[in-house]
Amino acid sequence: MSLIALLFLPGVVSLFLLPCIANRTWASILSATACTFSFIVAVVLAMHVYRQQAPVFFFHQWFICDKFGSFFVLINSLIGMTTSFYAISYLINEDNQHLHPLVYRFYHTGYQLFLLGMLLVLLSNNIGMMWIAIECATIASVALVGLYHTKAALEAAWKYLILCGVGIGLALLGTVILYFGAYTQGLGEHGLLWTQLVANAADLPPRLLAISFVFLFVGYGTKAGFVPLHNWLPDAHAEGPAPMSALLSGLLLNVALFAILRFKWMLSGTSLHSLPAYLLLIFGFIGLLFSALSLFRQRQLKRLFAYSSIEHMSLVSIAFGLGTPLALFVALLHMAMHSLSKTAVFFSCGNIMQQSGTQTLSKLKGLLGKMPASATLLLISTFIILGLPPSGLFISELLLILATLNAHILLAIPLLIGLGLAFLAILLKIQPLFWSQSDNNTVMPLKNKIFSYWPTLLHLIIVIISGLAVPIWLLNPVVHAIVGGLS
Amino acid sequence: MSHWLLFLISVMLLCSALIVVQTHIITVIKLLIAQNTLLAGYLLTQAVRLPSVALWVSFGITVMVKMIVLPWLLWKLTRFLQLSGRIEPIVNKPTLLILVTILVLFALILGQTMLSALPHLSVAGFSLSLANAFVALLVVIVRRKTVTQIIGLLMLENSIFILAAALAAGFPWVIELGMSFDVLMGVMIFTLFLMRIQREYGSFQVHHVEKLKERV
Repeated sequence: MSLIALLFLPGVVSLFLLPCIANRTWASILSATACTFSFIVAVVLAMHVYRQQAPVFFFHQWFICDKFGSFFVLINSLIGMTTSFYAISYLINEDNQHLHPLVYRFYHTGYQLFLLGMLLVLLSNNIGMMWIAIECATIASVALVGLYHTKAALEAAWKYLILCGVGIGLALLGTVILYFGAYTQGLGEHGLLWTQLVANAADLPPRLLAISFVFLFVGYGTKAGFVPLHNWLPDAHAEGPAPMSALLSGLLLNVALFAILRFKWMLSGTSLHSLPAYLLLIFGFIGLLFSALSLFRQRQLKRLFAYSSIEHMSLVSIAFGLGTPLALFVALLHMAMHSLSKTAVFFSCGNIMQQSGTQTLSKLKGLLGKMPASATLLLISTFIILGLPPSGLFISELLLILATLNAHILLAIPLLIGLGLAFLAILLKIQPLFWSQSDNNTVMPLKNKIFSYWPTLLHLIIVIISGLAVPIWLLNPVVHAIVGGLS
Repeated sequence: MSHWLLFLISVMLLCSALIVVQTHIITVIKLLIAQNTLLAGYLLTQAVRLPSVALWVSFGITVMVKMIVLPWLLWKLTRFLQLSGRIEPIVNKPTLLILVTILVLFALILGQTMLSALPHLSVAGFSLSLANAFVALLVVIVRRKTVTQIIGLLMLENSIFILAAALAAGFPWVIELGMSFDVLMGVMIFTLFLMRIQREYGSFQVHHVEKLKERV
């Protein structure tokens, strides 16, 4: 049996099993087991793909696993696994009034569907199927964002659905236009296969490619949180449950950017190779400066970190826009490090929200005294997300500045301004949380603490180790594959 | 036959333009169903002209989803939300019509630039469906009711179907099935949310769901 099929198997099986399990604990454990199994398969698959030169194909070449894809599959399945463990304790500690009993059963099914959709995106070679998978992940995550029966959650989910619905619609338009071009140029039904498109992109009419890329960029860019289209992102992060915020920030944004990068890769052999680079650079810088300024205005914990996600995705898109081998290396490192540390941040935000019952920054005070463990974890993960040494984000941000200086010295100025502002904003907003005097000392104790702490700790340890010993062995093959594919 | 196809797309575009300026939600829904019927007619013509499994499957899916399930769902929704007779405030109609004209012209110009690369007839179909997509976006942007935002999305979906079918054989049927399924799921979730919005706020004006904004 193909490893790719084996990777999907736990997700598919649990999709059928989970709706039937009424016991909450068992459902959580089953979900976590399925995620663990798929993580193990992902590791085996990645080792297999890294060892050999050619990508692995499956099912009439509809699925592909190259080094680029397997790198993301690895991150996705690791974070999917830790989040499913975190959810065990999160759901137990959740206030029962907010959640309908049926919702618990629904949560795990939606969660598995969401993860499966994202895996399908990362492994699909068929651009039509890639679209279907992203839409599937969107629908599953919309349902999970609207999980709480509050007006704010409803509004956030609605905004997410409408904005991403339009975005996804535009991406489909782009996909169809691309297929239209490939079909009329004699590729026939193979016009949907990404590998065929890459091989034949130079023969396709450039104007058609340009139009379709712009649609795809805007469409998937909406999901990646590029700035004029980012409106759904802070709301969805702030109002959904914490494991969802973690996955949206840590995985979904990456996956959306991954889809854009696949198409960028396709254009690299044509006369349009600079179009995606310019688009990524422009949207990257706009996003960086906008989010850095918006960070100063945030009053809610998870909203603050949602804007920080926009900032980090902008940094990644700047790096991909630069496109040099160093910049590609930086982009991949930054994506991995950001995913791990941002999920850690959202995990600890979730703990703090459950213990204090609020996420308004002005009401959260003196946390280190009240809830030492959760507060320490949030403090460390905030320092890491700020890019302080010895975290992996410090290395990636430093290298990004170097890569930008190599490209053009003027590009480094907005980058440094953006980085500095964002650093200042988050530090100013976060530091009063820990040491200030608090007049309200009610703390709700967490049950099943172990599961709410170890995923966070694991992520933090990986990020710090990657800062001390950068995983070049993991990243370099991917960079070589991309650069080799380009020339 | 091919002129008949172009005629059908043009009438669909006309439907979209009418949806932009309509004031009654019921009429908007009727127009959308009319557009879906035209789409089915378009697919039928294509399937008769160039018989292929993919096109027949596509026609079957369209009839099932867009002519039976969706109208039924929308009909139930209008009954449940008691939509009849409500008039919604929009940007004034002449401005909207001018906007529609500009968008259609833009799409036609965009299509014309591709004359060298594509067959002549495809260019016409391509630009008309692109125009339809732009008008659908306009509906999502200018309408102040949550229901019409969904209708805009469905119109966008329709124009994508025309574009897919303007090819000789359309999409492979598995992909087509997946897309329709996703669209259907999306609409179901929309419907559920609309019911929740109605229950929470008593109406579904967009301004109810515009509270989460940045405050200075």
